[in-house]
Amino acid sequence: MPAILPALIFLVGSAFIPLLKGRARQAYLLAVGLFGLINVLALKVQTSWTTQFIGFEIVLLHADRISLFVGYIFAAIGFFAILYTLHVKDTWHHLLAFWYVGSAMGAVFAGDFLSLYLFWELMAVASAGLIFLNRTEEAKQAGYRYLLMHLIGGAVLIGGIFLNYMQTGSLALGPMAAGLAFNLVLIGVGMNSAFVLLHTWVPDAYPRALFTGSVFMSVYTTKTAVYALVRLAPGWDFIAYMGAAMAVFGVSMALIQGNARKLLSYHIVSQVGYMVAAIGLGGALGINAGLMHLFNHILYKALLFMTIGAVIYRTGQEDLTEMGGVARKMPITTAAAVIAALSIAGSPLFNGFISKAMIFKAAGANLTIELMLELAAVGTFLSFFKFIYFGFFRPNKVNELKVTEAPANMTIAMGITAALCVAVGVAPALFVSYLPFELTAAEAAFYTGSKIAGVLQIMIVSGVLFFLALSVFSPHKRRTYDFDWFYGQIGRGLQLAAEGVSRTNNAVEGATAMITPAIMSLRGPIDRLNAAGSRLLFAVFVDMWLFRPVTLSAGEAKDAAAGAQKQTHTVEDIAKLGEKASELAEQIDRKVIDKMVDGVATIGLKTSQAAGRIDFGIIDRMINGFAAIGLHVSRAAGFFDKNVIDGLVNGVAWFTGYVSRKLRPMQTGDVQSYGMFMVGGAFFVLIFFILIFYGYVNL
Amino acid sequence: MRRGLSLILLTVIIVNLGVASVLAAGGEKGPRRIDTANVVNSTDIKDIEKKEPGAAEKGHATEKKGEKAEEHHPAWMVPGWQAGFALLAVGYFAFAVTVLPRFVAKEEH
Repeated sequence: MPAILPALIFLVGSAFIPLLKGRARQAYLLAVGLFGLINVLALKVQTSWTTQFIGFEIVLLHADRISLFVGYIFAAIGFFAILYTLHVKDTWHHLLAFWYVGSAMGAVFAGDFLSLYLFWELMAVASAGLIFLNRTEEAKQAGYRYLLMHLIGGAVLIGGIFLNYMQTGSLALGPMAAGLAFNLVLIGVGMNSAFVLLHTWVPDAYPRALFTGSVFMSVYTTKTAVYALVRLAPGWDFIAYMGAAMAVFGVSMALIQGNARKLLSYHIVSQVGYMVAAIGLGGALGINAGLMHLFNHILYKALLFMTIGAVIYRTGQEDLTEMGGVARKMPITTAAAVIAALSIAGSPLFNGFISKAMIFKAAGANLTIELMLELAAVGTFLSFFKFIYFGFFRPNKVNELKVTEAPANMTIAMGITAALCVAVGVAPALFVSYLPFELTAAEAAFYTGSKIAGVLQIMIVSGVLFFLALSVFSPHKRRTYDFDWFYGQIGRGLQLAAEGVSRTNNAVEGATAMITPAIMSLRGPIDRLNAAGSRLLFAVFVDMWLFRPVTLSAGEAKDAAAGAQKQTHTVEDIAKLGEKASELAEQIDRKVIDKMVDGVATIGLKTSQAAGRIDFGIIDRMINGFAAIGLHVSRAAGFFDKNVIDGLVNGVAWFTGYVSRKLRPMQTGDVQSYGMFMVGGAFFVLIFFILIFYGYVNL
Repeated sequence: MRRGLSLILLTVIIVNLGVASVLAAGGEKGPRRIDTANVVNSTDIKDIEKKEPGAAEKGHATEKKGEKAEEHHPAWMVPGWQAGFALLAVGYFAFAVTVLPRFVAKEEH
């Protein structure tokens, strides 16, 4: 089969979803999902597809052992999630889910930075759409915050990409050297990987999406970022310690949550921390361990969101303080939840055990990371004892009476995903052979006595202590705060600062408008006062000079008497000098002081005018521009809906009617006629197979 | 305010743990970076050393890390240590779920 771009199957495939309804749509959704999976499974190593885009050669399909390994699980869980959400009637939900899956596949198979970035951003928009789709005020606000954080992350990422391109002249994806470009890319990728401090969007947004949307969201965004870390930054100490910090922080916050989906969201941070730590530890084993955990995490985390979604669907509850009592009435869902919980906790015979064993082996030389991950492992056991007991098994008479098992499509999807969790745990060799690097015999020895004993010790101790201290770990109906509280404060501070600047600007404008006439009216008296003052000052100086004390000798006195006449001239000269000085002072007054006063008034006036121009010329135009864009987009969407979508729907309806009118005469009710048609059809089929058999037709 | 301080405290603890471990590790470990740009064969491990000469002097062969791991474990890690560690860890988490919500959560009724 020729290689088809995996992203295209979902992106192009989405175009036909609005045209179909009911069973036809369900069959189509499943067919596209299955085709997407088969296509990825059929891809060969070193398959590539390049094209030109804005003057760059971009690689839209780059299949190597890393992208294929991630692509397999992305496509598989995409198919299971489509099956799980098959009952959803909202067209937008399916469209956004397809765009989300398609863009994630595009990012994984991207062979250059530009393609990666394009699919990265499309992924952010599609996933934000899944949050908005819940159509509650909380979901809307969380969606905006989610979009804002991802757009900031995307902007930092593209900054790093451009800088890297300027330095290296290449857009090829691969491990980067240290430097500013690397740091920017790391922040951009770290935002999607939920690095501590950049993680707040996960617990904020995931619980607020529709429960069906959460299943898709739990899979793609963070794991695409983990994949990007494998490509760009394997083997960095900072990343290893960040991963360990994420594992501990995530599980600490998860344990205090009362909302089941928020608990699961914090566990995404924690489990992604394991992957990030493994990639940071680096080497073939670290990368294999990180990717294996990514594979397993996608299975059990999607399964956890599926099971809690099924409970929400049947009971409307997702707060652990209210839940419980569903174990008997929803046995398949409960069994799937228990399998997922055992998997995430890393119990033997479940998939989490395999990848965690690999991660601990990779961390073997680094005691700090090993102990931090062990600490997180204990917290994970506690968390999922809490999740399973309070969410499913705790007695709840109301739920026990009214609840029924989830719909068939949900239970089948959960069943297949759970079976895969067990399959990886029981027969890991089948799956680890697809990892990018070959495992040594020591690395592939997962089930050793010491490892099983170690996990069982943690499981038993944490289980016994959990039930002994049940009241300590019991859920509470509470609202928790994270670092986004700080971001909110910073945002509010910026808003206050902007308001302050605006108010100050208005005050200055008002004051200038008031002061200017007052200054102008004071000009005459100030002029006069100034002239009088300068004259008075000059007179005082002259007087002081004329009547200064002088001591003369005899000779000097004689000379002075002789020069008395001359002295008179000197006084007159000084008087003239005084008049000139007075004139000069008046000129200074007119040319300098007056101009300064005029200047201040003019600056005030011009500032006021400039502020007015910015307000009318830029701000108003921007607002009007946005409104115009919104109006045009809305008109275009309306036009598209009316003329294209409606036209297509009407066209299909007309075509169907036309064909049925033409075919109606064939319904004669005559058995012989029908027999003729059947024989004719069989004859054509026979001819067709003969042509294939003799090689005249190649399929 | 208390909420903010506690979050800062938690971050400081985590960052300190990281920094302390980096210092403790000293120069023993270095880059363990292998070329992941295009992995075609499962045994095709190209070291990034080709791009960054000298990195190997700080690092060590990662493929043998699994075997080396056991040697690095301290003496107190005898069989069964996980049970003691889990006991301490549950204590930590019990403390965390009791104390943390006072600072980072608001009860809803």
